[in-house]
Amino acid sequence: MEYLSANKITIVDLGTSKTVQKELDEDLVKENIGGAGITATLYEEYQDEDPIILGTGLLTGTLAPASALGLITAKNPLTGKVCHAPFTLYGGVELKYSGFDYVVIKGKSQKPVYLWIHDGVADVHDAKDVWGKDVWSSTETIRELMGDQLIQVLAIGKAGESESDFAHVCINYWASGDRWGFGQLFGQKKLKLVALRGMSLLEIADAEGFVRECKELLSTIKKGPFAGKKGIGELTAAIGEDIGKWLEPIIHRHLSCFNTPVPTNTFVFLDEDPKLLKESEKKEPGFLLSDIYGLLGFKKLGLSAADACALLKECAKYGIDAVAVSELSQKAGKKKPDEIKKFFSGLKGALESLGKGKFSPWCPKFGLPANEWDRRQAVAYIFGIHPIFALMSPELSEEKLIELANLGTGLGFTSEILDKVIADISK
Amino acid sequence: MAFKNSNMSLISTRDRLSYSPPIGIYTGSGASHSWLWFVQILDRMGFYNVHFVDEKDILSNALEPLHVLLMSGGDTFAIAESLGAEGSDQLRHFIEGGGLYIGTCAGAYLPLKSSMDFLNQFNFINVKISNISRRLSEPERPLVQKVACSSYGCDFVYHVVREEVVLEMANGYQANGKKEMIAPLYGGPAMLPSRDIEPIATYQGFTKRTKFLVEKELAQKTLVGNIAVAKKSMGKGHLYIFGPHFEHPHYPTCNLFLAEIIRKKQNGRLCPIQKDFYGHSVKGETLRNFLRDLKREVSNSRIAVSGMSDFTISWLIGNKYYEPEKIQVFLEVLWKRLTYLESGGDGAFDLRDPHGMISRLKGITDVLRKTKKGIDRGETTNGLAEDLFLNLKKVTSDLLTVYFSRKRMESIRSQA
Amino acid sequence: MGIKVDPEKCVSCMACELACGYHRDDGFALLSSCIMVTRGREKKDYSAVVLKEEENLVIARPEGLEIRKLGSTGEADQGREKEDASAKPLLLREPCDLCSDRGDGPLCLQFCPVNAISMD
Repeated sequence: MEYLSANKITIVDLGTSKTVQKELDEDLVKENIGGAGITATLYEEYQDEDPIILGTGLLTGTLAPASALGLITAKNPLTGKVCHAPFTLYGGVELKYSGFDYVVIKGKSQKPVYLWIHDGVADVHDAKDVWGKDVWSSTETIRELMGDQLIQVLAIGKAGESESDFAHVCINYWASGDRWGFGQLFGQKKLKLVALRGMSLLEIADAEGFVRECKELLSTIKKGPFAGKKGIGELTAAIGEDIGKWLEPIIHRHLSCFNTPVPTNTFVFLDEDPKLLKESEKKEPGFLLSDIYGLLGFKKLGLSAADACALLKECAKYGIDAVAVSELSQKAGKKKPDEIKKFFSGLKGALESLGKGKFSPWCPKFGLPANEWDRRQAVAYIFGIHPIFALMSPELSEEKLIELANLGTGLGFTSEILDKVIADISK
Repeated sequence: MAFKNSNMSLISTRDRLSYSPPIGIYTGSGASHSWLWFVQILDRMGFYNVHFVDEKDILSNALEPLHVLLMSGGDTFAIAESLGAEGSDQLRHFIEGGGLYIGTCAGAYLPLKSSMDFLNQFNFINVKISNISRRLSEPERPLVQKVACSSYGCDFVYHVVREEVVLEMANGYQANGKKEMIAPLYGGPAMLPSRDIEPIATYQGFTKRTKFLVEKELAQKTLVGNIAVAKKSMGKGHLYIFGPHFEHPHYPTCNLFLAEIIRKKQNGRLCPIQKDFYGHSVKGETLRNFLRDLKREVSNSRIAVSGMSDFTISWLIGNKYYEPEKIQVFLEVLWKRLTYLESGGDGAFDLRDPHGMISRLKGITDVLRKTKKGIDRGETTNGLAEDLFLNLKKVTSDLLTVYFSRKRMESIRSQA
Repeated sequence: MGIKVDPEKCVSCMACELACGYHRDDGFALLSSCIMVTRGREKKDYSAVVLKEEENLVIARPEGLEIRKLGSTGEADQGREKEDASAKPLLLREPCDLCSDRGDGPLCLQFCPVNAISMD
């Protein structure tokens, strides 16, 4: 697989700590395009070994607008179905540039380990320095050990280590789109974290054509309805929840995921003047809000913005799904932050908000009918587009994405192929 | 941007592969990173019989089997001091015995006559330079003293421009009938006419890309009409002295000029490529593991240095500033060649010290990580950086030795 | 004339970095770009956009613009007055050339989704 690809898959056997590399078969890409199209196929191939598959979309890490998506494909421990969870920010692009298109993690380790994936090398390391630590300390430890603050880390905290039903895989210090309890799978495999870093180069079949098309798309998007909109507040407003006045006093800045035209994340300062422009002297002045329903869940409990965000920070450190925490806390009548925090360990119960489909309900429906939402998410997960932005941007039509895929790879994808891949992964 | 489409067809493939004189590149004390440019252009042009020598190697007769020695840029005084009188003797013996010495920038200053300590042990060429303060008038001296110079006893050697200069080629040295050549200058000498040398090119002028470090008039006075490239015969051999860096990879015409000198040196005599034998043949699973370990460690180092590469860190070592980007340059040269080595198929590699190589690379990664920690804590890391640069050169030349050895083996196979 | 970055508008998306990398390498890569978003202070939500020019480092910090001579260590500068004229270029992250070989101007400017980059 020559273009837009590292041309490699790594198979990691946690039982033996051995890793094997395979070429990414071009026929696999021709038939399944990328992202969830391929992770689902890989899952089937290795399903007897209960795998976790990490992957990226075909366009992830390119100049295609919003090409930020990385994904985790695994069996949802809560429903038993094979599902996909997104991780964005800089995680997707880093996986793409780490030298592997897909990572198959199979088996279980006897002792805690972590995966270090870098420049086409996959190593299994003893996790003695990080097991038992919260997500934030784990990320810091790995970055210090390897000497680079730009390493992206998919990590579990105590929730995952104790195999909680609601254990969440975090991205660095923040919530990812994992709403499936994939953290539990990591914990069951004694896999503390996956660290990603790479400096690859992706070749492009028709480079100037691809870049020209991306530029035109971006121009159109910049004139669209979401142009100029910023932050998580805009997203909640789009689903009828106005949190503007509630959140505004603690907002520091709005941030985009990789190459995503609209910043969908908001950084709040809890411990510092939000108007501060220079670097804060506080070690942990605040938190990055990337989880809409987690934030709304705590707001619903009547918490102040500062308390809600502080709790979200605690959820991220503990590596637990904030939506599950807020929903089950409400059911249990817990409304004070300290009570809720104590509730983390041993959190149990049935969730009403549990997603029913294949794609994480981290991404709001924005009023779309279920089948349309599903299709749009499938397209996003195949091509590697930010799932939330995919719903905001009709400019990133299926035709345009196919065109980009063909300019980038020269493989002649068609809408028929896309339809088939969507049907296959939606089964 | 790297030149991807340079036309190297002026040297035939057959000649490139068949004629491959043993070429040494100096990588020892005082050598900066521009010797990597020689590596890149030799690789690009198909000269694979490349070896790397430091001062210790030179003192241990390493020049004996070589036909060509390339001495690139860096700190001339440090080179001279590390080679010493014995190194100078070795060099003289090499050239007089028929060897070809090509010196650019610092490598050009080295053999020029000088009374300065350490340099006075060489004095192979009786020529004076124009870019020295004693040639300036009193009013002119302060104009350059603040800007760009390095001390030279009671005087100082000064530099008037950086980047491109235009050279006029002497008759008999014109490429494709063209009298002018553009070449990059970074501190190399401008030589005054002397009976001891044959001028090959003189400084003629400047281009839009020339960066003036002084007033244009003074730059013209210092350079124009003076000698940029010269040749001297010594015994059976020759020295070619280049002020500008003809080995800069973005100047293919200059690179070809160098290649022609190397090719002409042998008067067309074929020099069959010898098969190396370092005593440690590695193949199959062991080779794959070795390459994987190499890749792992180079990657770890690359990542550790990228953690420092936001342009805002530098170290003052000796008289020169070093940045993390300089470390990256070495690692990228290695990284690019690892891909070739990985695709090498099932053939065996002859290696001198595979475990030592991996262990030195691990050492580089460790030091990089320690340096990063130190920077984050606001500590001084100059000492760590200094050690690092020394070891980096050694590790790079070790791995490049493996690379070129592989290239030679492939050449032999393709000729068989 | 040069690139100007408005740090208040920047959303740290790295599109400029990738666009510049494409200009340098004719593929998608980040290693050679001369403009980069510093991301090492993630927990503190502090980042700047650093642009490498011929002689200067232009650091667009949220609190203001800093221009530093290349090779200088900023506050820790040891009173360095002279340039090292004999320093060889590193040929890795080469200084900004405003994408001069492209007819349509700097790519970073074209790919910034929030118009944080302009020509000075």
